[in-house]
Amino acid sequence: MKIIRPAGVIFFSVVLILIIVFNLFFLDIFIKNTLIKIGEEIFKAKVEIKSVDIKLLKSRMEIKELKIADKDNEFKNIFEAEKIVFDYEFVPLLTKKVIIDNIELAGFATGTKREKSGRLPEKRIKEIEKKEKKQNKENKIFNALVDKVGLIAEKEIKKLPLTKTIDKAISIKDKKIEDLIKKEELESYKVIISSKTKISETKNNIENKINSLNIQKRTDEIKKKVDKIKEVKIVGAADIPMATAKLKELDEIKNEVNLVKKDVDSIKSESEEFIKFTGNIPKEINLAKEKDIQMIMAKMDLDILNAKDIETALIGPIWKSRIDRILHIINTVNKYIPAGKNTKKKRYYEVVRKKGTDIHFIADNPSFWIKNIKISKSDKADGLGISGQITDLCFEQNIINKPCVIELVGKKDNKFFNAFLKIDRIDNIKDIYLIKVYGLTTDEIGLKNVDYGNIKFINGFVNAEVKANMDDNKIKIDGDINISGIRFDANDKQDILFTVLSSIENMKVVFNAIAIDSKIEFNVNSDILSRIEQALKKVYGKKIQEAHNEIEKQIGNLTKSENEILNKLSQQSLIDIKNKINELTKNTNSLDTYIENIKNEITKKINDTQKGTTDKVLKGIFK
Amino acid sequence: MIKTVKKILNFLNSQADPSQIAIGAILGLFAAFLSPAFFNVIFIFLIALLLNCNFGVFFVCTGLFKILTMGVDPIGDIIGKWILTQDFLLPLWKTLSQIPILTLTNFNNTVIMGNFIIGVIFIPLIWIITIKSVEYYRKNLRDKVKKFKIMQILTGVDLIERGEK
Repeated sequence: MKIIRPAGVIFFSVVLILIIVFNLFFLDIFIKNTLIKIGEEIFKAKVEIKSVDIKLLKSRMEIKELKIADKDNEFKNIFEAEKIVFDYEFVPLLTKKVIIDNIELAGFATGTKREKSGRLPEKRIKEIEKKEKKQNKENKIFNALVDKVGLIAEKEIKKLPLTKTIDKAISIKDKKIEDLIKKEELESYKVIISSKTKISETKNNIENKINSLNIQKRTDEIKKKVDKIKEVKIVGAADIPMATAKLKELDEIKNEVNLVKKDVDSIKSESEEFIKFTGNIPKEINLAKEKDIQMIMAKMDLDILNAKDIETALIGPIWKSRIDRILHIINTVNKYIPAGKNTKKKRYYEVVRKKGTDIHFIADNPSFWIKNIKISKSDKADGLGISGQITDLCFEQNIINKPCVIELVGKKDNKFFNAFLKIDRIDNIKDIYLIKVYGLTTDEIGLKNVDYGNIKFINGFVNAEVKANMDDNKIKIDGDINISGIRFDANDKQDILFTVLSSIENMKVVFNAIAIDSKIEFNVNSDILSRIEQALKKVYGKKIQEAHNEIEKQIGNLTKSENEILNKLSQQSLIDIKNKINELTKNTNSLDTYIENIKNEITKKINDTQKGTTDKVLKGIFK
Repeated sequence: MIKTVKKILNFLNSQADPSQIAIGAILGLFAAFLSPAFFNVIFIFLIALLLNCNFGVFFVCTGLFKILTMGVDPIGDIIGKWILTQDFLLPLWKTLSQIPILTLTNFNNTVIMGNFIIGVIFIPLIWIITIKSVEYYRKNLRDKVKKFKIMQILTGVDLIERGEK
């Protein structure tokens, strides 16, 4: 058997020629599609290229009208370039090495408008994410940070859909307050009942005490004794000693009166306590009623928003949009540029592909190296033109021994963009990422599409600075975002959140994330919490008062009869006790006066008798 | 497709060299196993054109072995990774990676390298099995198979096709 097919040789030659011809004519399309595919994997959004023109003999490639959509804002381009000219080295291409001496990127702009959506189909996104997940396994710190940020964001964003009007949140009509109030469970009812019991008991105690002290009987007896003494006859001097003895008796009786008075005073002080207690009853009932109102309002499950929840809900997407962007840049860098020390040790590095893994052997020349990219800005009215330079974009920095430096500046009217990236992975990772934007609108940084439920940003100017430092064991991200001239819109203008947020015109959000080994710290703060709290008070105040009054009315109705009984009992008891005390006081006081009168009377008689006797003696002497 | 099957059957029924079928099957196997790199498919197709192999068998085997890759790829990935990351072989791979065109075969991909090794191991097996099978068929089954209705239908395919046109 002939091994070589004679006809096959001709056919082989024909096919080979066809392949070469096909490549000459269709290589442009093939490269274009490859670039689109790679671009979509990097940016997770649509990548469009008008044409690719490869001049093999001149080692030059021209790309016209490259548009990369923004994954966070489907009708905006993250970047757009009118023309890109590559001057590549041909020989390394045959060993699958891309060495490009110079790239000129003309008409470069960011934030330009798109007519068609730049969102990739879900299937394609899932495909890219699956691949990325496989590739990301290696950088544990970075992945932990991304996961943590994702978890925090998920937690914050869950709180977003707050689409209730104040009437729905505190719908008093819909809640059957009477069903929530059980008389027996009311604190105010319990206070009324216990007060009633205490009044009756205290009244009885005082009355019993009065009875047990036998004050009336004792005063009567004292009076009788006094009356008996009153009957003493003082006719002559011989009666004076007896009368004087009676006076002493009267003093003793007075002591008895004082004892009675003391007992009356003790009852008086008890009754004063009682009076005080009854006087405090309305206050006690009101306090208990307030507790009841709070308890019932809690039972009513009034949907009162928490200021902190609103704050986190509002700022969540803002810091996430910034941090996502920087993490996306770091992720892309991680994917293509390994740390030099890793590749040095291994003598090869791995790049995960859809099927299997590509093992890249570290050779004398890097597999990908763009020495210089010169960027000139677009003059289009749309978007923000960007100029700058990228040097030494290389996959194996330890071979070229140079870091990659990216400096981009964009300025138009009040808008300013500045990015400085130093990707230093020659040996250890020593990356710096600094992105500043000033005067960009909320729409331009993708906040217009944030899902706040019923609410959305319609305007606002953003000044933001995000800085990230990354080394082998640590990633530190600091962000400072100021948004001024904020305006929100809502489909339902009665929305509580809209009412609250309408009062916020500017906000400052500061965040920082530090991932050291497996420990991650994340902090976010803003200056809008107190303003939200004030706005909430204003919004809820009136409605809360309405609910409060309604419950108070219902409690009042329920406890009306008991309250009236208590009032009557309290008043009657007070009158009774007061009368009794007054009577006792009156009696003891009159007894006191009575004794004093008798005493005076006897003393007078003694004096008169003594005087009469003296007169008689003197008259006898002078006779 | 029917034409291809008919050609294969005609070849089997003829006295042609069975090694042509074996070469076709082996090239089909490599075309399927190394397909993750498009360059490999083109390259093997060109070899198939050049070598005196049965083209029908080449296509059919490419299809059949392609189905097999679902099971073979994960094994190839493991074998490939092991081979490509052995220290003593690294200088070889490094040298190979400097050779123009060769890198287009994606030999540094674990699945392609692993599948290539599996393919190489299977060459003698496929060669022997194919040749023995053809010989056995021609000796024991050819006359019986010729009597099958399906064979008669296939023999009449041309007529039917012409009639349709």
